Amino acid sequence: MILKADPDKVLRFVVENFELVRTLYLAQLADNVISREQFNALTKHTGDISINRLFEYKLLTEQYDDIRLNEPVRAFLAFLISEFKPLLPSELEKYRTSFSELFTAIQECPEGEHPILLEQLEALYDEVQRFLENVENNTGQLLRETQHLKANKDKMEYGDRIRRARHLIEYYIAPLNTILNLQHSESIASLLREISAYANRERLLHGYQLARDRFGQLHELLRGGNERILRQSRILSRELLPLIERLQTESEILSGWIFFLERAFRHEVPSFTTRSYRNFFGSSTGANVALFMEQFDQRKEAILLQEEELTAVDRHEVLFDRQLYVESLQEQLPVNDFFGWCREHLYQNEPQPSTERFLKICSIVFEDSEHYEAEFTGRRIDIELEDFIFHVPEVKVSMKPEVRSAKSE
Amino acid sequence: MYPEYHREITEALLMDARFLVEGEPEFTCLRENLDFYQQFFEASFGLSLLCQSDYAFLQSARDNDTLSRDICIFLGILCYEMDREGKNIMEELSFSTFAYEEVERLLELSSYREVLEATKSLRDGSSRRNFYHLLARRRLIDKIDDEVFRFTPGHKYFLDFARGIAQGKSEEEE
Repeated sequence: MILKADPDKVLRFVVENFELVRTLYLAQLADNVISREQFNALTKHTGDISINRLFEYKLLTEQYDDIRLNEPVRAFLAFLISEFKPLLPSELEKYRTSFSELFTAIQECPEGEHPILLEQLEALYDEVQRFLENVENNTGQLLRETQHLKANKDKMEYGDRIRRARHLIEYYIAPLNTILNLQHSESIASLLREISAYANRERLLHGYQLARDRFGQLHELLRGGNERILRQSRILSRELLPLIERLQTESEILSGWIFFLERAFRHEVPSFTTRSYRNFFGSSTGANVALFMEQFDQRKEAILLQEEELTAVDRHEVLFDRQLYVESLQEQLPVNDFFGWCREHLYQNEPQPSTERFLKICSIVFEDSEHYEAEFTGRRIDIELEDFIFHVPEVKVSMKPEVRSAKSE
Repeated sequence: MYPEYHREITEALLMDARFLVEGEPEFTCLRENLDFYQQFFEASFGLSLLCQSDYAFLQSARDNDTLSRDICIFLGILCYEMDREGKNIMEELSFSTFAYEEVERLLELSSYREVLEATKSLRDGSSRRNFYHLLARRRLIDKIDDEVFRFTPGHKYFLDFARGIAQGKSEEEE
């Protein structure tokens, strides 16, 4: 009981010092108690009179060395500021005991004991009211915490975010969901539904008018409460659980990527898909084949034209005796003007000297280039054949020393 | 005898080596005949078919795939940068469109520039243009027009990979 001031004066004091009161509330919310040092720091700019009044008006109480807001004041501020610590589900579980005890007492209340029945009904009404408020505050607070975690305002590391999200799911959200689950026969929500059905019957059948009224009130509250529980349960299952699960997934993805990027070229990668070149036949195969065949059609005509000019096969004309030229070249090496030598031997050996044959003779050196050494003088000379004049470099050809020595051995 | 889109499915998965994704008639046909296709690709080509609820592709036996690494680097950096800008990664990748210009800006300013520069296909703007073409051919992205693209559900394969790394790591820690 506050001895030193009227209630309205206390409230005025709270209004005038609201910022300080709020700071104290938030400090207690964070650490459960306000340590003496913390209190001194927070009230550094507050006058002694106000500090004393905080205690005189019983807004604060001392507990050993620590300081706490008086419980009704804390609850009032929690309501005003809308910042709570979510209740652990076991704190909500206590309501199950009080509900079932009061419910049993009401059911077993001997007839005629009206005053105690009315008190029990009133107590149950208040208890249900408190439970519903607590549940709503809790869901609201959990939702805010989750959104806060999602926006990562505290710049938490991904690992910490995952841990925090897991903690919220495991210790708060999932158990709260169980408490509110109407499908679950052991849940508090189911117990309340049972009480509601009983109250519904008794508000019509009970022999005592005042009791019928109270049962009516209780039934009304529980009917509304059922809707409130459903709403909270829906927030949990539709919003909070998916949000926090997604948050957990997203944090896992990010921390996975960060770990990967630290060793981007050494870390294993998922096996992906590769193109297969097994397409022997494709949509254009037909067209390609037709195009390919076309050239033979044309060539066929060309061959026919040549056939008319063909004369009897002359063995000497057809066969090129490469060995003959190779041997005579090797006998005469080194040759100072290789292309001149080729022309000379063309006319010496071939009955029908032709350009094609000339080129074949020239090729003997280039085909066995590992045997010969060619030295370009830098001059160019003209080699005149029947139908062509070749403007060729002057080349001196000799046998490579290693080939020469191998031959002499 | 063969399912309706047999030729298209085989061409897409085997020759084009691309994702089939939800919304394509070929994907629906593949899901309806999943057992057949799993056996078909395994027996004929020795390849395993990976089919999820919204994407499918043929897994190669190669465990050091350059393209796969490039995609991981690209997606990893993109996710990191999107998160840094306060965006919701999974929602963005699943439902949003991406302007090339915006992606280029994120990559250019990224603190992972060194990794990008060390990756041949992601080293600079023109290399990345080719990379985007390649992603579109493999159906990891859909080009909406010359300026904008969107990711297909195929991207989830790589997100699952990243998630697996984190989960493996946290198990190690435990």
